[in-house]
Order: sequence, then structure tokens, then C-alpha cells
Amino acid sequence: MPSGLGRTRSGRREPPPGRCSVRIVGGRLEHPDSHTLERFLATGGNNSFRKALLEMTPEAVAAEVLTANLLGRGGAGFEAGRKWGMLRKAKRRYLVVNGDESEPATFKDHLLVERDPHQLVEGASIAAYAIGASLAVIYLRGEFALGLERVQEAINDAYRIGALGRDIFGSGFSLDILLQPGAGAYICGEETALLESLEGKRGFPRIKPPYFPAVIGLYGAPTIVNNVETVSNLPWIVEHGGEAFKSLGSGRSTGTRLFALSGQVNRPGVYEVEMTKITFRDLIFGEEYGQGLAPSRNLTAFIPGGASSPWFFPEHLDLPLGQDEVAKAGSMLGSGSVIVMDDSSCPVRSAWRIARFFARESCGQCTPCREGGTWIDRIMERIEIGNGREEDLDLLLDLCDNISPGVVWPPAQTTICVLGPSIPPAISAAISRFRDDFLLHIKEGRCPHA
Amino acid sequence: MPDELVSVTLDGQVVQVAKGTPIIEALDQIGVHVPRFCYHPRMSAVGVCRMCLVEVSGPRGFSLQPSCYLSVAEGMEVVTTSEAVRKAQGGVIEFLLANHPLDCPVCDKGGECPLQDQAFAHGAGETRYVEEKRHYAKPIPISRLIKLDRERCIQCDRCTRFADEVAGEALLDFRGRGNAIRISTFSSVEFDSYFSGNVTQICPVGALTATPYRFKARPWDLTQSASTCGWCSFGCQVSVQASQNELTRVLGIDSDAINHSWLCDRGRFGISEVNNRDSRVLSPWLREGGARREVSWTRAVGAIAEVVKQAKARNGNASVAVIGSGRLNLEDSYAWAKLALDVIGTPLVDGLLGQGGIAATWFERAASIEQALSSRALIALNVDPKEEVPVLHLRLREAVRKGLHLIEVNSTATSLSAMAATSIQLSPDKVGELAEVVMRSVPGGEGDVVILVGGLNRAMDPAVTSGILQSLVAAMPEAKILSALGAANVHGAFLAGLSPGVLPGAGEGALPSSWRAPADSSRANYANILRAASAGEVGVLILLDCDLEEAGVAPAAIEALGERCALISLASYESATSRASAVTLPLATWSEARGSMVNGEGRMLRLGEQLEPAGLSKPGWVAASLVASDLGNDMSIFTAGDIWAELKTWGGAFAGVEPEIFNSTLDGPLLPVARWNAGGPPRALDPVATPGIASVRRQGPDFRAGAVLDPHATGTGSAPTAKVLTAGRLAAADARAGVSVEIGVAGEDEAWLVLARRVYEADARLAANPALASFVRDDRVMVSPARLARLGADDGDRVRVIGSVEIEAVVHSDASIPDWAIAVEGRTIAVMHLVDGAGWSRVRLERLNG
Amino acid sequence: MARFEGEMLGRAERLASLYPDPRSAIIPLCHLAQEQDGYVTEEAIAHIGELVGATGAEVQGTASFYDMLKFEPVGKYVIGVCTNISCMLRGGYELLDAASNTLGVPPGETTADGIFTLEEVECVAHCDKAPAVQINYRYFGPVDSDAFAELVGQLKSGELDEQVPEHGTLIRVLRDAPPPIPLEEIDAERARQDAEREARAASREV
Ligand SMILES: Cc1cc2nc3c(=O)[nH]c(=O)nc-3n(C[C@H](O)[C@H](O)[C@H](O)COP(=O)(O)O)c2cc1C
Ligand code: SF4
Ligand code: FES
Repeated sequence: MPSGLGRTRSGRREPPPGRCSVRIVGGRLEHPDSHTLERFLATGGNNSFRKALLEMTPEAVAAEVLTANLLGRGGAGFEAGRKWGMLRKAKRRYLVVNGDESEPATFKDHLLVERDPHQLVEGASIAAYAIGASLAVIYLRGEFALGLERVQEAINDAYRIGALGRDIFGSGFSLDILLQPGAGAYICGEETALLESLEGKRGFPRIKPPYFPAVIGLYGAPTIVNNVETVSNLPWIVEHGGEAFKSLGSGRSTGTRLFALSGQVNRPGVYEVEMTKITFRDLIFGEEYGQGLAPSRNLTAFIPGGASSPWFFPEHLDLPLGQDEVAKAGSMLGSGSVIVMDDSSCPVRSAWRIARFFARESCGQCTPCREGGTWIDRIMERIEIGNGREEDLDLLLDLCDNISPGVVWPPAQTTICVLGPSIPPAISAAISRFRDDFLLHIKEGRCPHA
Repeated sequence: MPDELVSVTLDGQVVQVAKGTPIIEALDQIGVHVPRFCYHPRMSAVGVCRMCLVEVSGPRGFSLQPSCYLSVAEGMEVVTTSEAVRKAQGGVIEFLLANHPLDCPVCDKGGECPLQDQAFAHGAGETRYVEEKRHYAKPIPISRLIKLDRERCIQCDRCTRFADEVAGEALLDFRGRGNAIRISTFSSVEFDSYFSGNVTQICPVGALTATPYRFKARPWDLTQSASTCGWCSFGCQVSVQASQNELTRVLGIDSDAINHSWLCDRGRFGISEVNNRDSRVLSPWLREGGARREVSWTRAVGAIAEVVKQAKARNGNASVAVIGSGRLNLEDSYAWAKLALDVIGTPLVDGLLGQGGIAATWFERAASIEQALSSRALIALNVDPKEEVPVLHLRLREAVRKGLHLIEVNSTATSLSAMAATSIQLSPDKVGELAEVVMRSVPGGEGDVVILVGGLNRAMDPAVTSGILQSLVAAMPEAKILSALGAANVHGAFLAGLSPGVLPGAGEGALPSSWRAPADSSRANYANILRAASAGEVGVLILLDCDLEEAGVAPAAIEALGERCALISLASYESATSRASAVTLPLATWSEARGSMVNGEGRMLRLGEQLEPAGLSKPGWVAASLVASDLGNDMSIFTAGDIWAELKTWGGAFAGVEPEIFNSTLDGPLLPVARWNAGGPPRALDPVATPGIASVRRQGPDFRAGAVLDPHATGTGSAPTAKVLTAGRLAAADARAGVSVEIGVAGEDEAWLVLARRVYEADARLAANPALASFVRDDRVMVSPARLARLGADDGDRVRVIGSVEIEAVVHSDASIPDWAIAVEGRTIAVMHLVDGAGWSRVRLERLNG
Repeated sequence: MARFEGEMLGRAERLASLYPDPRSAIIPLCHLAQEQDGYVTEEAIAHIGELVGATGAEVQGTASFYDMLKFEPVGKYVIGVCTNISCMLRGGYELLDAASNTLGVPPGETTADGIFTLEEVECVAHCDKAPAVQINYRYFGPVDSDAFAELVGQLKSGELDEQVPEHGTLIRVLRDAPPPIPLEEIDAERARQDAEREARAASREV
């Protein structure tokens, strides 16, 4: 990096800080050269893949993953082992690794693809072996230019050392991995939209049923779609066993997770933590983690699992970082991204910005999402800049209700996918918690925080 | 196989429905109409508009689901009346209207717009949308026939799905994302498809409109009747709509058996020539002393009777000859057959332009379209459905997708080639062994095979096709035939007896007293008749809606013919033939007279009357009856009903045919009626699938079950008076014997001509149609790259094609043309004169300098 | 030079042959077209259609769905300033205003010299470095108005040439691997493994 750039720094990140009893996906990140083949091989790289291929049957690998109770890290939190078990019997099967990571405030996969691409390739290879995939595709968000280069290099390396291609490590197992760049469309993170995109089409989510690509996926063949972080856990699980993974965390939330902390917090970043062992308060205020807010600022709200999850407020700070614990409190851990808002920020503006994002990223096929999203965006913008009307609040809630009937959690929907129903949580949370703020905007004809 | 039934509860009503039925269709069946936009019964469900949401029970209780996409399942409960459903549907309507312009008063769809109708039924009535609406440039012509108004579009995916899924021409697609999503062609590339007009029919708003129809009429000013398209023999069912005695538009009716609501653009837009009075023959004409004069019907008919009498007196009955065209309807064909064979007593009658051999093999083993599409193997012989019977191409695509095994036998690549499991080349040197080669490609035995036969290559005598057909049939006695012979009612002309070797009904039935024999199949071939006429052996040549120029006779030759004999023409449009005729009678054209026709599967179809006949035109059967009267024999035909009554007595194809038959079917009966499985009552048409049919005032035939139709009520009220017929026998055996033609050999520098039929080709009707005339392609010659190289020419050079005439055109290299062939396509009728009447026409090429 | 030729054509054909269905190459081919011309030209769309067996309308329909694909010429550097929630909370909009002032063009436009195109972008997954900026999809952050001006200066002087290639060049590492194993071969291999799998299952049952 050129020096003297002041506060500007490149995409290279420091290893995730934070104390964790064990590092599972972030183990290699303490090394500045963690992305190189040399470091990968020097730190046990491919040992797990080798072990899986030469010492384990595919079913045995799948069984370990089932035992581990590895929850998907892409957002929906579905057990990877169970998903694999649903794979329809067919001649051709595919594995697709979802690295589209576009959910606002989510940046953990970005770290993994840039800093440990070989682990990703190894994890994908193990998954492909376990499910008997004939071809694996790693789909990365197109904007990850450096990540794309690093993963392509890792794939090239793997072919060179015999870890991909025909008869890998003399096991008789053959596999190709392709790297597919996206081209800038958030909806392609939704797994069926991703498959459409991968087939060279617009990223229109597919209508359900079938409910799972494991039944009909890429090119009509059964397909497993797993998140980058999900598959990056596999080398560790194969090495240490599913039981060891399960012994971390508690309940259904096993192992560790990467949490991406951002917003108005002193030390934003990615932190690998053992699940359920710390609380949101620890994550936001803890010395090894977020280190609290700016001086004399108070927390007004935080979003626990990416922009589409319902907001949490100070009273939720002591909830542990666990899937079911958060779900029970009415939100979700989602993609593991926590956004912090303090009292210097305008909640109307935050809710509007989130609504605007989803409106812009609607694929456009469902009427409620296409039309409703933009409509809500326009109304919120009017309110934020001081052109709101009191009746707009009821209108907003009613429009939300027409996209996601009842505006409940988990959301009901009048749409094909849950992008549309991702708009109401922020709007309804903001209106119900910060109604006075909205009314102030309307009364004063301007944003009181501006 | 009966469908498996499941038991479902729809709004509290327990019903049995075939498994796999979409919920929306199950609800339609019990009369519950769920609002909808993107759903179309003839395309796959996409469930994107979200208008049809209903509550459906599932493992986790009731949830809102698109009823168009989800199918019924055993034990399923569906609720359409709950508050949740009402709220969701109202929400979708409001969202759709948010950005929709408020221009209903000037919108072509106003009055028949599903969005307007459903907003009225399910919307709030008052807008809460105060933001600025979307703006787009408009209207954008996306083709010569269609204009797009993007602001009105509701992104229902119907047009785009049609283009990709039904037509297989993905020329129209979405562009952009989210709120900015819009339909679009690729930059400057036109939506150039034979089927483009369908998107204007299925658009549920006024976004896609047909340029020829724009601002022509409002739905409440229109009247309509059910009819059949008159452009080809597929027999698409249509609603013909008119305003103030002008045809305004044609919409496809969703006939299960035939067109599934689709039409080709020729059928849809091929109407303005009917309105174009300048092109029409509006009164009888008589040529006296070299000048053509308008005369009364009485004068003209009297003159015809006079020349006929004179000719007969001079040279006997065979000095009068009749050539038909397949454009006459069934009633006209029968009346003229009767006049020619029974009253005049000439054996020289051919209404099939030489395709009699094919037709004779066809009827006794006619397959329905449905049978052909669900057969084990379909052999397509000398046919390109997309060019000859276009909508069959759409049906075929669907069938092939569902697994139909298609074997193509053609001289060059066609639209079938991409779909066919096997393509076999039909080359002049292989004609003899062709049947054997084809047989080898039919998988597993011979049962359940259908042969689709057409007349694709005009340069090959129909007798060649007929010969191949007969050897195939000889090898596969069980095989059935679906005919794609192009002219609309060519099959009806055959069954009416306006054809060599066959009596009306094509059966072994009764024979009226004086009508002893069918036309003479050895002499009455159309080519033979023409030859005899040019040789001066025919005194009177009667041409029934047949322009000899279109049939390949040069205008000078037609004039010469007019010198040699008395040309009598019955015509709707002026042509080289009508102008050379001694007498011309004005013929009521398509949609100007009720009647019927028979399509290539042998189905009898109604032709509706929507207009007063132009000028002094009359139905063809009236003209026949008048001429007969003047010849001293009124034929006992005073109404169209008389003809039907008489047809029935012929038995065979017409056994059991009653006018009431049309009351119980949307389509019409397969002939003979015994072959026809009418099934249940016809399905109610989905008003949102083709909005323009439901909204327009009906006159006459209704489109739903239970409506009473009388296709032949002419208003004269006279009861049918059938002749008492005596028994007789059919002397048509000779027509069914194999026909063999000498193909000959090509000279050193010659090649075999391939002159493929095209949807748009030089034709008096197309020339008179401003909407379609520009689609006729310029003359061009296509040869193999090797031949082009031998010729020393470059792609795009001009060449001279030398055959029975000479034409000049641009030459292109085309790898799909075999080296033995020269393919010619053309705008000028001159191109058709390259056909020399030999078994297979030959031509040679010369490079033009400069 | 809008159609692919020479080496670019070779790369394009290799891309199209990589997938079980060549249409899967549409997006990579659009990126390739941008690498060649800086944006996706109409001729490139038509050529891509030919290479993968799709109509121009289909390729355009797919391509126009994606924000990174441009159909008009853009600057040598496309600068995206993120204003999504995490960046907004840390000054994303203020940075966008500053960037607009520095470059003298509003978001969505290209400077008169054709060097810079400024864009407001959605979350680029760089939220811990908010407000984040991407230049031809290379990431920078946190960036304030001074740092932005400095970045612009460095781009102009060529100091960042190595890190930031011209717009259109996305992945500078080409796939270096044997052609994918033919699916038929993998099918056979699959059948063998499945048989083994079943044998194992059967022997467990015994
Ligand atoms: C609108 C939307 C966006 C999504 N974006 C992503 C994404 O960027 N990355 C991801 O891994 N999963 C994303 N998902 C979740 C995927 O659909 C899918 O559940 C996930 O990739 C499965 O992987 P996992 O089981 O390993 O978590 C998204 C889902 C939706 C509905
Ligand atoms: S909800 Fe929105 S993003 Fe999802 S499929 Fe429908 S329109 Fe597309
Ligand atoms: S979603 Fe069912 S009709 Fe459109």
C-alpha cells in the first residue's frame, strides 16, 4: 500500500480479533500470507480432504457433518447435514457455493475468500465428495475483484497439486471446480436466483415448490447450495470430528461463527466467537470486540442478523449469540451481521435506507415487491426530508401488510421469495419504536437529526 | 386413460378434481373466478403477478398461495373468500395501479381490459399513490405490426413467455431489474415472428397493441362471430370482429382440438384486403367486343349458360372444364361440383390443383391433430408446418417437448430440423427407395404412426409426394395421415366431389340419378385440364376463386388462354385471371357468407358471416344455383340448408352431419361423425386469456356450452328439400391406385429446383393488404457454398435462374442447401413460373456481370 | 473491435466450453466484453448470443439485470461510494457529496475527460471500513473527503496502476486447469461410486 494515505486502507484485513476458545474457520488468519498455497500447506491444508478421500466414505463424511449439527451460515440457518440428506437420487448432482454476500453489513465471506481461499476450495471439495457432486461451482459476488483472483489462484493451485481434476490423491474421486463471478445483483444471493444467474439468466428467484434445490437445482439436477462460511467449516469438522464441533456452543447452535460488527461502534470488524457463549452486549461493548460506542453516545437500536432482520433494542443486549435464542426473541441471527445505531443517527433515515436497498434490489417479478418496495422507499424519503404527512404512517404499515401480511416474524408473504418481506421489519420496527421521531419530521418539515 | 382424481375442499365445497389441475382451474370448474393476470391456460405458470393469491391449507396451516401455480392435492382446502385473501388481492391491484397511467379513455384496451375490470371488482376505488409515476417513451414500434406502451405494462411475463416458450423465438425479453424492469426487443432488432400478433391478444393491458387495429374501434362498437381462419387448412378457430361493415380484427379462440387460441400473423392481420374495395370484384363483368363492362347478375349468368350450352352442343360435355382452388367453402364447392358433374355433365373437374392423389390417400386414414401429436412417431413428408400451416408449428413444438418422436423427410433444412429426431433427405435420385429408408428410422414397429404430408416444395409434382406417401402406407397399413396441404378448404373440395375420382362424401354411398360418375381422374388433373385448354380442346374454362397466375401461369399465357376458350371466373379479388375472363362473377369472400370448411384432419368447421357481401357479391353456391337454373335445372338448391340436407344423403364423410352439430362443440365434428369423440361440454373460455372475446358483443354463435348455433340459417326460411337418391356405387378406385411420375434426369449444368412455400408469398390478397405486404421477401436464390464457388460468384451477387422462364435475383450461400439443389424464394409471381410442370423442375444458374 | 477476436475470441470460446450449458458463460462473457471495450457493446451482445446459442434479446435481458455491466461507455475508473446502512451511519452520504464535489460530476455521471465515473453503490461488504469506496471493484476504506481527494490524485498520477486496473478488467488470474472432465465420464464414475455406496449400505444391513 502506498503510505501517507491517511485513513484509507486497502481491502486486506487484519486477522479477526477477539478471544475465542478455538478458531475453526479463522485459524489461519493470524498469518499475513494466509492466502498463499505455502501457508495453506504448512498449516495442515488438504489434510482433511486427503483424510476424507482416503480414509472415509462419503457417507461417513456426511455423518460427521450431521453429528456436528453445522447450521448453514448463509442466512436461513438450515442444518447442512440434513440438507445433504435431502438430495434427490440422480445421475448428476451439483454443489454450488454461495459467495454472493450482499446482505447489507455482511462481510465475513469477503474476509474468507480473500484471506483463506484454499480453505474454501478444500471445504467445497469435501462437500462435493460427501454428496457425490460431479461438478462444483463457487459463485462469488462480482465486486470481489481481489477475492475472485485469490480463489481462482487457489483453484489453479489445487489442480496443480492434484487436489482437483481426475483421480484426486489417487483416490479415484474426480472433481472440477469452476469459479463464477456475479455481476452486481443482491438477489442472486437467494439460492434459486443464484442458480438462475449461474444458468446465464436474470436472477429471478424460482417459484416454490420445489422448495429445495436439492430436489431440482442447477440444470434441473439435484444441487446443494451452501454458504462460503458453511463449507469453510468442513476441513475442521473432518479433522476433529462432528462431536468435537458439537461440543462447542450449545443447543442447536454448535461450533463457532463469524460475526460481522458494523455501524456506530468503536471497533467494527469480523469476530469469530463460540456460539451462545457471549451476548450482544459483549460483542458490541466487550474489550476484545466492538469496544462500545463513541463517547457520550447511547445505543438506540441494533440489528442482529443483517438488514432484513427485525431490529433489537437495548433491552435485547443480554441475549446470547445463539440461533434459537435470537429467534425466540423475535428476530434472527441471519447472516451474522450486527449493525449498531446510536442516538446521533436518525432511525427514520436508517429504516428508509434499508427499505431503499431492498426496493433497488427487487428482482422485479412479483408485483408487491416491485411496486410496493419503491412506493415505500418514496414515502420514507418524503418523510425523511420533511415532506411527510401523518397519514403516511398508516399507509406505510398497510403497504407493509400487503407485502407481508400481518407484518409478523417469521414473515408471511405475498411474494415468491423473502426479499419483499424483508422491507417491513425495518419500517415497522422504526414506526413502532420511534413514532415520535416520525411525527417530528412531519411537524418540523425536516430531519431533526440533520 | 382416465385422470386420477383427488378430493379437495374449495370454499367449503368438496369436489373431485383431476390430479395436477392448477387450483385456479379447479375453481373455474366450480364457477369461482379468481382474479388473475399472468396466468394463461396455454402457457406454463409463473406465478409472478400475485393477483390470484388464495388461502391454501398446508402442513403449517393456511397460507397465501398463487392458485395459478399450485396444483390440487388430496385433502387440500382452499379458501377464496377470507379477509386475508381480499386484503392481499386488493393490495396487488393497488400496487399494479400505482404506476399505471390513467389513460383508459384513449387506450385501445379500454372496455376490454382485465386490469380495468379487475380493478373495478377488487380495487379500492380511490388512489393512495401520490408519488410520481414511471415514465417511458411511448409508443415504441417493436415491429411493423406491434406497438409497445411501457407505462401500461404490468410485467405479467405473458408476451415474453409466449415468444420463448410457445413460439420458440426469444426476441422479446425483460430488460433491467426491479422497478425498472421492462419488456424489450434487442436494440434495433425487430420482433419479427410469424406469431407476433398473439402477444397483443394475450396482453392483459394496453401495453402491446396491434398497429393495424390501433384506434380503429372500441369493444362496445364491435360485433363478432365465431369462425375459422381462411388462410390455410389447419382451421384455426377465430372470433371475427367488425364495426360498421368493416372487419376490424381477428382473435384466436381457444380450441382444444386445433389452435389453443394461437394464430399466425397472416391469419390475424390478413383481413384488410376484405375491406379494400379497390382490390375486390364488386359486380359481374362481361367482356364484349374486347371491352369489360359491368353487367347485372342476370346478364352475366345468362351469358355463362349460353357459352356452356354452345360448347356442349359443339363439342360435347367435355368441352366444359372446371378448376377450383380450395378457397371456396364446402357449400360452394358442393354446389359447383353438382353443377359441373350432374347438370353440365363434364368429367373435367379439379378443385385440388393436382393434389388429388394425396387427398385420396388422406381421407380414408385421416388422423386428428391430437392423434398426430400424441402418436409414437410422426413422419413429416415434404412439409414445413411453420410455412404451410403455421399454428401446427406451435402445437408441434409443444408435442416434441413432451416427447413426440419426429422424423423429417424434406429436401432442405426446415423449421422441423431442429426438433426432429431424424432428418431424411428427399432428393430426386432417392425417391424410389425413400419409403424404405424412412421405415428404418421408425422406432419399434409400425403401430401408431402418423404421416404429416404437405406440399412444401412447389417444384416437385404433388404426384411425387403422393407416390412416396402411398409406398409408406403400403409398408405401414396402419399408418394414419394428417394433411397439411395448404389451401384452406382443399380437403372440403375433395369431400364435396370437386375433385377427380371422388364423389361427395368420398364413401361408397348413394348416387343421385344423373350424377353417374365422379370427375375423370385420368383426364381431370388440373395440369391436364390446362394443357387441354391451351390446346384448344376446351371451349369453356370455369375458374372458381382461382387465380392462374398464383398457380404458376404467366399473365401472357392467361391472356392467350382467354383467346383460346371462354374463361369464366368466380372471384372476390381482381387478378390477371379475372381481367382476362369473358365473364366474372363477384364472389362473397371470407366472413361475408356463412358456411363451413374441412381442415387437414377432416374436421368440419364453421365459417361465420360477419359482413354484408361487398358490392353485388354473392355466395358461390348461389351463383351455381343461378347458372343451373339458366341451364334448365335448378338443382333443388335454394338455401345452404338444402346443401347440408343433400350432403347427408351421400353418406361417407357426411353420414350423420346435422347443422345442430355445431351447437355442441366449440370446434366442429371430425368427419365422419362416427370418428368423432365430442367429449364433454366445451370448456368455458377464460375471459382474461383473450380479453377481446369476452367483452365484444356477440352476434350469432356463442362461444360457450349450451349456446344454440345455426351456422346455416340464411333467413329465407325455406325447409331443406332433399332429392330422393337412388343407390349407386363409387367409381373412384382409379384415383386410389398408385401414381407414378417420371422425375427425369438433370442435365450437366442443371440442378433440381426447391421452391418452398412460405407464409408470406406473392399472392393477390397479401398484395392488397397494407399491413402484410412488406413481409413478402425479395426474390433470392440459395445454393450450397460449393455450388456458389463453382459458379464463381460471391454471396450477394446477382444471378440469372433459367428454367421454363428466366428470373434474376441475388444469390446467397447456405450450408443447409444440398449440392444437387437450387433453392429459390420470391416476392414476384414470376418465381413460381420456374415450375415447369415436369415431375421435378430443373433450373440452371448464370452469373450476371457487374 | 466490439466482437471478440484473436486471443479474446479464444478466451471467449474457452469460457463457453467450460460449463455443461454454454449459456452459463453469459455473465463471464459480458465481463470479458467489458475487459475488451470498457463496457458491453451491442456487437458484443450479439456475438455472445452466437457463442452460447441465445438471442440478442436474451443476452441483453440477462446482462441488463446486473449493475456491474455497463451498456454505455464509462470512465477509466468507476468509483463507487457506498451509502448503505453501515456506511451511511459513518458518513457515506457526506462522502458521496464530497466525491461529487471533487470530481465535479453528480453520481451516475462521467467526468468530461472520461477518466472518472462516480456511482452511489449498495453495500459492498466492506462495512468495517466504512465509509467504503470501491474503484473498479478494488476496495478502500474508511475514506473521508481528504482521503478521497488523495485517492483521485493517486489514480491520476498512476500510483495505483498496479492495484487498480482499468475499468472492465475484473479477474487478472485466468483459469489454469485442464478442460473440465466430460460429464459422461463423471456420470460413469458416479454410477460406479453409487453402486459402491449401495453395496456398503447393503452390507451394513446384513
Ligand atoms: C434475498 C436473499 C438473499 C440471500 N443472500 C445470501 C448471500 O448473499 N449469501 C448466502 O450464502 N446466502 C444468502 N441467502 C440464503 C440462501 O438462499 C441460502 O439459504 C444459503 O446460501 C444456503 O447456504 P447455507 O445453508 O450454507 O446457509 C439469501 C437468501 C435470500 C432470501
Ligand atoms: S419478492 Fe421481490 S426479489 Fe423476491 S422474487 Fe419477488 S420480486 Fe423478486
Ligand atoms: S400469480 Fe397467479 S395469475 Fe399471476
